[in-house]
Amino acid sequence: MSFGSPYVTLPRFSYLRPRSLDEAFEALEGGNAKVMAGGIGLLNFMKERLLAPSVVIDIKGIPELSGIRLSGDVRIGAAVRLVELEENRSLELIAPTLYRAVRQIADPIIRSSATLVGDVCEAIPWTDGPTALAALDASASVVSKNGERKVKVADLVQGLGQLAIDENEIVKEITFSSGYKKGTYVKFSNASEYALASVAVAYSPESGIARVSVGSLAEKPQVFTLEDAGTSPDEEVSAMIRKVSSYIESGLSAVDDILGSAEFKKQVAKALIIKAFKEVF
Amino acid sequence: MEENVVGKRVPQVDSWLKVTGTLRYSFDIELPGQLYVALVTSRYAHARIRSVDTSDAIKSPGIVGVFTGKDFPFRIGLYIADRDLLATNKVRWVGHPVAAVVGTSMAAAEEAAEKVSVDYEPLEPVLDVEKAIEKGAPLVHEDMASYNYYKGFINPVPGTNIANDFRLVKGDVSSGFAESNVIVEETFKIPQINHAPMEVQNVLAYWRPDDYVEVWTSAQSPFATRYLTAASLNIPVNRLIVHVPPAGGGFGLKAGIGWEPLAIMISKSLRRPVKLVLSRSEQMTSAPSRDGLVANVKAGFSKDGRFKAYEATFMMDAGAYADYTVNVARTTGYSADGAYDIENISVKSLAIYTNKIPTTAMRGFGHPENHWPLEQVMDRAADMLGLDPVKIREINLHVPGKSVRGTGEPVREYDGNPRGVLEALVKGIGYWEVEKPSEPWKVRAKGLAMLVKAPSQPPNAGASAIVKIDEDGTIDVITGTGSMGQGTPTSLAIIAAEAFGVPVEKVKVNQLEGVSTDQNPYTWQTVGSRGLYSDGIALLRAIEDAKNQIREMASAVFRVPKDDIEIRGGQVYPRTHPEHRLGLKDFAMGYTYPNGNTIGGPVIGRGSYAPVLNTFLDEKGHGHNTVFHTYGGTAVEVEIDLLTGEVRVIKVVQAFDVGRVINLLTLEGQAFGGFIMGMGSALYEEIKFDKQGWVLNPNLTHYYVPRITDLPDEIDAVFLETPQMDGPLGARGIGEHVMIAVAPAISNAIYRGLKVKLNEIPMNAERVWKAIKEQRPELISSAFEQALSRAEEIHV
Repeated sequence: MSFGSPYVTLPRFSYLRPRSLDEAFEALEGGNAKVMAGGIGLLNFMKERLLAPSVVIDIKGIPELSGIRLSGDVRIGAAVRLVELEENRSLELIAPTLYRAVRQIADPIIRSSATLVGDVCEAIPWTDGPTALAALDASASVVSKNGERKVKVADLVQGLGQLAIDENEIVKEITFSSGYKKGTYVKFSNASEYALASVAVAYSPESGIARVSVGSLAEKPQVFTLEDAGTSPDEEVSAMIRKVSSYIESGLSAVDDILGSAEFKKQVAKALIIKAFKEVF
Repeated sequence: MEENVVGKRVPQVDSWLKVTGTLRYSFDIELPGQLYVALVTSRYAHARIRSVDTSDAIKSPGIVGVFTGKDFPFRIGLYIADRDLLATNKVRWVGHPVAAVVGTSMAAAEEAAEKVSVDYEPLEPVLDVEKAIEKGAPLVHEDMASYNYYKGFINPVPGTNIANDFRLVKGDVSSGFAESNVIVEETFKIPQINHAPMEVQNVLAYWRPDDYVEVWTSAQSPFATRYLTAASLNIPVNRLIVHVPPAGGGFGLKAGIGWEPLAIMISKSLRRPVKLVLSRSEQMTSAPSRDGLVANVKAGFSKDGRFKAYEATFMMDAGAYADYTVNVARTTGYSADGAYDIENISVKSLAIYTNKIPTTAMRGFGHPENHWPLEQVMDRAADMLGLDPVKIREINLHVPGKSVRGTGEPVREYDGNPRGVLEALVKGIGYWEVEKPSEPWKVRAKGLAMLVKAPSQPPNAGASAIVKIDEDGTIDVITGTGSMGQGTPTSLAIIAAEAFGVPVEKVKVNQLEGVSTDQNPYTWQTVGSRGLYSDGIALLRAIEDAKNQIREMASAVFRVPKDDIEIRGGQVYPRTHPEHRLGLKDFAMGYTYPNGNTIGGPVIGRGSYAPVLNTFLDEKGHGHNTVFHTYGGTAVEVEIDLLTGEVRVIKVVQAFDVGRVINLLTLEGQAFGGFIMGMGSALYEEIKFDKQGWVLNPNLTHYYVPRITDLPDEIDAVFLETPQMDGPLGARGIGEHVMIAVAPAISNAIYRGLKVKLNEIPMNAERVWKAIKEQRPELISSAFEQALSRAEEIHV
């Protein structure tokens, strides 16, 4: 991500690479520190002087933060790079919503160092990870020396650059139910690297719950169930699309930004719903 | 080994160095003890500078100097000297450099730059060309009357924001309109766009202890850079040595004069080498971009389709400085009639100052600007007349040997085959065939646009070349044209290989190492698609000179008349007795007889070229100001998504009459790359400003140039070969033409498919969707129903 920087150098900072969470917590105690995983977002923000931490804590050396677990609830550690998710074909079967989103994040070069947790913690309204994770009703485990708490990913991102965690906390991992066996992620970008609108659908055939998350329209993904939109997976798909389209029109908020007008973003979201629903239902 | 390589696919001579990361760009060059520059730039579009406080910055660690406009109280420029090195008295756009902070490291300089504080008195900015030419508009340059400019070439209007007022008049448009049955009247717009080269501008300058000045710069035109810089800074021309290593893209941005004077003056002051490297966002705000345009055009046609009258006002948004855009406006004006015979023409073309990013040359140089309206006018008029877009072009296209351009220049027999280009486009794209869209809510459509362009240059734009034969018979070619990926050096190598009949590997062009003004012979500039033509002619003359030197010696050695000596296949022999043969190497250093006597000497050929019978243009825009014209065109097949307005280019045909194909690989590369660049500006690219003149997208995230995933499925290139009578081997230039017709071709396709007009680029999804919604709303609702009914089918 770049908003444009007149700078070519980074501000001064010290770099720490702790081997354990406790070491990381200790480093955070010093204040004015930032946690870095892939570094894609953080280093750019620093180059642009949007952030100027005196300490950068690289968490890639902490063993608990690596690894993907697919049995039971899905768990993805904070140091897991997007390329690891992309290469995990089992993830495609267990959580197609996330898998498809990951494949569409940025480009292969960035995916080789960026992490999913980093994609969330960047807190940029147009990124793909949070939209997909919100559809999956995913939670983040947030840890500090005082213990661990769970926050819904949908609540973690509060708006542009705003994250609902404290300065002494680290997002350790993301978890979600492996029940959403059907789903997809579709995005539309035009004249930008970012999605002007995106739609994630997560559907659990067993429970009959279908969740829809719409990204990029406003400052954070907006999530609803088919029930919220007055429909269900039992209806014909064209009826579902009609109802969800009118729900998007009347029930979701949208803002004008550099990517497009609110009116156009809603139009694109509706077009994406057609594509996504045809695929899933 | 293949000797005859003309027209074949020859990899560019610097390919290996490029793909192995070995080629040295100017950015890679460093000198011991060099200093680094960080710029402090304006946060106002228009403001008076009350004071600049540099006292904290100069005390910052590692800082050796801080400079402001007061340190360099003079102006520079190419056609009009309107630029300051650093803002003096006032700032004219957001991004205008106000101070330069110089340190022993970039980090130190950037840190200290934050400590410079500038006290501004905000002034009302003017951000719109139409408002800028209203009476009483704020003036961007109050002192225009005192500026030096190229008299006879441009016409600035002091007391206004008009940096150049160019007129082209042919016949009488009012009687032309009176005779017209159909009139098209429209306003067309183009935003400012960025060149976005891979390599940002950078300069290393060293004012040496002996008062010679050396500069390494990412530039296009070594000699223009040298002359303009030397003249601006009062340095004797031969004491300024400009080194131009191969550039990582130029596209016009790096023509003329850039950041060299600032780096030189800082070096003069500090007596150390100074490196100035822009960041990407500085490249996109503090450096020049391409002019924006508002064009009001009116075109009249008789009922049989004849183009009777064309009236156009081009208002080019030159931004804060117009030192090159004055000539862009002139060029847009004199070539406004494109490839068509228009009976009556009245064109006013203005370069207008605004408080936006300064502008400069860009690939196409005024022709993307004037073809955007003209080529759409043709399709709109055809529609009104009940003709098709091909027919109306057939009726009005130039007829070589018969037609006369708006400037009064005849279209010569050897200028090319415009009709053949049109036929190639129609055939190549399958213009009359209807393709099935990939989804029922999408529409497939085909469109085309023609173009013609000549280099826009002063009447004395010369070139020269040197050819040397080495001890082993290999050949060195030296010209002054910079290498920025365009392929001219390779084409020159092919011409030399052909002339001596040796494999192309035996020819070395010294541009591989870059051009140095103290070592290379002069060429005016590396611009205007002129390199192959101008340097090529000079090179052929140099080759002839070298061959004459060899013939002189061989005449003595073989004891036959000089004119009977043949030089072919790398060998020298009497025409009548080819069994007596010597190699080029036997003459390279002079011919040595068995007893040691030597005649001649090292062979070194020289050749010069200047345009023939060129003139300035008079007050009606008439005169002879071109050296060759290249005709061409672009045809596209697009798919338009009615639900999102997204336009995807499916297939492309690019066709040009290049005179003679010298290097097919380079030509194809130009045709493909130029299309992609043209598509970027047609569909995506736009510098966005807010109401205060701030740039909203000074980055490659939101200023979107095409990525690999945006490319068409198929791009074909067709090359016609109507030899240019005076061109090297019949060739003419092509480097800019490849992007000129792209935007109108896409717009014409959309119009043909949907009857929806798009008068403004970029034709991004939102703009296209809004145009459909305004002009044909029923298309969107029926597309939605189509999409749903198809969904139903799948569900069942």
